[in-house]
Amino acid sequence: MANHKLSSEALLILVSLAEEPKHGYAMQHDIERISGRRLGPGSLYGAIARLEAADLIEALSDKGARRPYRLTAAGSRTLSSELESMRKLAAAGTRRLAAR
Amino acid sequence: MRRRSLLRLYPLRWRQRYEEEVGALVDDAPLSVSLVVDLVRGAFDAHAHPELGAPSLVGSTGGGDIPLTPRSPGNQIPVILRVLVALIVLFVVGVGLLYAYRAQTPAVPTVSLAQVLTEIQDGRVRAVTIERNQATLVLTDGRTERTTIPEPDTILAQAVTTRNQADPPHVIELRVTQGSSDFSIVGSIFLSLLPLLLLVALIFLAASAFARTRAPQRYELLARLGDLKDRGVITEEEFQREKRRVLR
Repeated sequence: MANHKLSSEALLILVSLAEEPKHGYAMQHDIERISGRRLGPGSLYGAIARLEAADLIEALSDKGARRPYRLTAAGSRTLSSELESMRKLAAAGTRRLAAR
Repeated sequence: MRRRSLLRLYPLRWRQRYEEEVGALVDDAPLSVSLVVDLVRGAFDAHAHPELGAPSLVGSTGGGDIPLTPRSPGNQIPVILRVLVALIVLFVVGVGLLYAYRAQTPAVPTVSLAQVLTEIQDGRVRAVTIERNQATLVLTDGRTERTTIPEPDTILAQAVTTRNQADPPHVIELRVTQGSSDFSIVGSIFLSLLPLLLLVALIFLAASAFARTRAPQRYELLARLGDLKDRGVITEEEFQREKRRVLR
């Protein structure tokens, strides 16, 4: 899974679910709170469907309109490695800017 | 819920899996162009990836080859796609409005002058409006007819007058107007200009959409410049110069 390229929506969902399992509505609000970006229903569920198909998240139970999702072990690993590479990139960028 | 009908654009398999959940979000969202665009784009995406929306993949080992980023080279594509979809929606709405306007002005059947004269003599006409070489008749059963008459009119007005004298209790209302066809001229001008107006509106919308996508970049740049200034990488003077350049 590590060689998947995460879309920004997918990354936001993984970060949101890293806290606790959430349903779509809660994800939408949480993502808006942490990133200032409001994902439309189409974008949100487009990314959820991909993450679910790639086994990075899973639906917890059949609760109809409020079905919660949680990170899988693979999802946690993917998020962790993605954040690590972002951290490296940010560090490199900051270092280079400071050296100018 | 008419908003939910947009979800019918999605493939059946996807709907079976996600419709209820997405429907709840759609009900909650205010109806806007961006919502429609979001759902239409999502539907395109779902059709392009029919493998999405499988009942449940928990515990399965498959799915490894599904790209997590929608198939699109670069970040520009979604913006262009969004504008394109908005343009198509606007165009369809515009053409629909045009047809609605046309449908609102019902077609008036044109009949021969001889038939009109017979109808007048038979007492089947309630009102006659003569306008240059056109006469519009309102029949007693509520229908409207139009006929062409020689100009100046010597026959129709005469026939109405004769009929009114012969049958005073059922007077036919006769109105002669001197070419006040202003409204129809305005209407036809408006109709002929409508496609042009629509085109201008489309271009304006596309331009504003592009401007909107560009605007945040300027402020991101400013924020980065401010950050550089705060950290002492650039001086206040350099910051002000760059700021003027960015905001110009």
